[in-house]
Amino acid sequence: MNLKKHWYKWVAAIFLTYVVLGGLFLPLKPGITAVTPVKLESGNNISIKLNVYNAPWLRENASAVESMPKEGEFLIPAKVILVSKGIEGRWESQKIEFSANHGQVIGLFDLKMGQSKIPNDYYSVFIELSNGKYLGLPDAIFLGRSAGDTVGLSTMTSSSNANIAVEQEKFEMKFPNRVVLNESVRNLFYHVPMWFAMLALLGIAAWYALKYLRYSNLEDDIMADALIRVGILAGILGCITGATWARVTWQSWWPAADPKLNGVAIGMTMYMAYLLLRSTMNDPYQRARITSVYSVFIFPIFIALIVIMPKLSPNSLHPGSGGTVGFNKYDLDSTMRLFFYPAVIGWIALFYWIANLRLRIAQLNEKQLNK
Amino acid sequence: MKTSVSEQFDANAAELLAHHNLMNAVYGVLVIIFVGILFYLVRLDRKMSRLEKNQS
Repeated sequence: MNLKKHWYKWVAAIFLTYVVLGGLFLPLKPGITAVTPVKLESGNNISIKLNVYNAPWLRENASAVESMPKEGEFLIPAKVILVSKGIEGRWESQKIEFSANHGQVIGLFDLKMGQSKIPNDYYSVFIELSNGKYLGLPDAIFLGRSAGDTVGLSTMTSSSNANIAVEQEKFEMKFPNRVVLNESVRNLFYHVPMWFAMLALLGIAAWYALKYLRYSNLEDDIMADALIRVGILAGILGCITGATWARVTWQSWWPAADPKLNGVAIGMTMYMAYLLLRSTMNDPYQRARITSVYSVFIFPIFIALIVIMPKLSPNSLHPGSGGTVGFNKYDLDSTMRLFFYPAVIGWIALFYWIANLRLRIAQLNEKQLNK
Repeated sequence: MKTSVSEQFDANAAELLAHHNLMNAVYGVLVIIFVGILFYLVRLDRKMSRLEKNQS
């Protein structure tokens, strides 16, 4: 194969192999997935149960471990800590229980507020590990004062909470464990690049459409048409994969209030109308001129609908819009970047490759018609 | 043993979350993409065959 001519095919093959393998097999960092109970009243002998995903103290072969792992040998949980944003001080567990063969940690607490003026509030739960690092779940427990808890001293410790918040994570070749997303964070490499591919293909198509309007060369029109058709394929796949992901994380196939989804629905309809418009005309020059004008016009509208409008809206569930933070700020850590950027390039190259096949078939068809 | 309704609910929720492995969503998404692309390639293949038939 001529490397110079087919470079994007190699890019697609190599990048996507890397992204699919890495995206599936790299492990997730440990993280707390659930806390019980979620509502507490102050008092003593309170146990809080935490489920830890990919807990660092788990053994492959638990039966071979006779005793509990010792400190220094493996990372083990040392303490469970409750911290509230507005309250200085923290509750620390007196005792914890955990096992080498499952990710459950039970923290035993003496939570007495006594005469101190501690308001009822939501608390974030942290597990302090033996190396001084933390696993956390934000605002997981609501703690209220029980009716009898009004005498004596509070058992809250007065140590500062600042070091928990600024804890820096060392770079590890593992994906971050996000609340709600968990393992599905890997879909960032498969669902999101569908939209990047669609935008790239539609963008190139708009450029070819402009080129047709300038030079009236039918080749440009056929190219634009092939790119738009494969772009729509990427968009449909983006919709279905997005619905699948939304079902397990946002609990709905199609959260209708999300402006990004509504924008996409309108935008896709505009491109469906393009297909309809094109199928109504037989004269190649007339068809090329009208659909070129149409696709040059709808591309910026499409960008406005799926990129700009959701960013302006205050209530989109998608990252990077309104109230949610963008992937570049917190969500996309360095390991994610190592796979996300190659994924975007790889998927764009693959869809461009498919568009190229579509183009060559359309060219053959054109040749036969002219005979 | 006495457990309140809300405690029971908490326990169930935790159990559900613990067993709810979102890896299936990742496999699902990958399968959808590959089936979608395959479907399109089969359509292109058919178009190509038709053209070849016309040529001969």
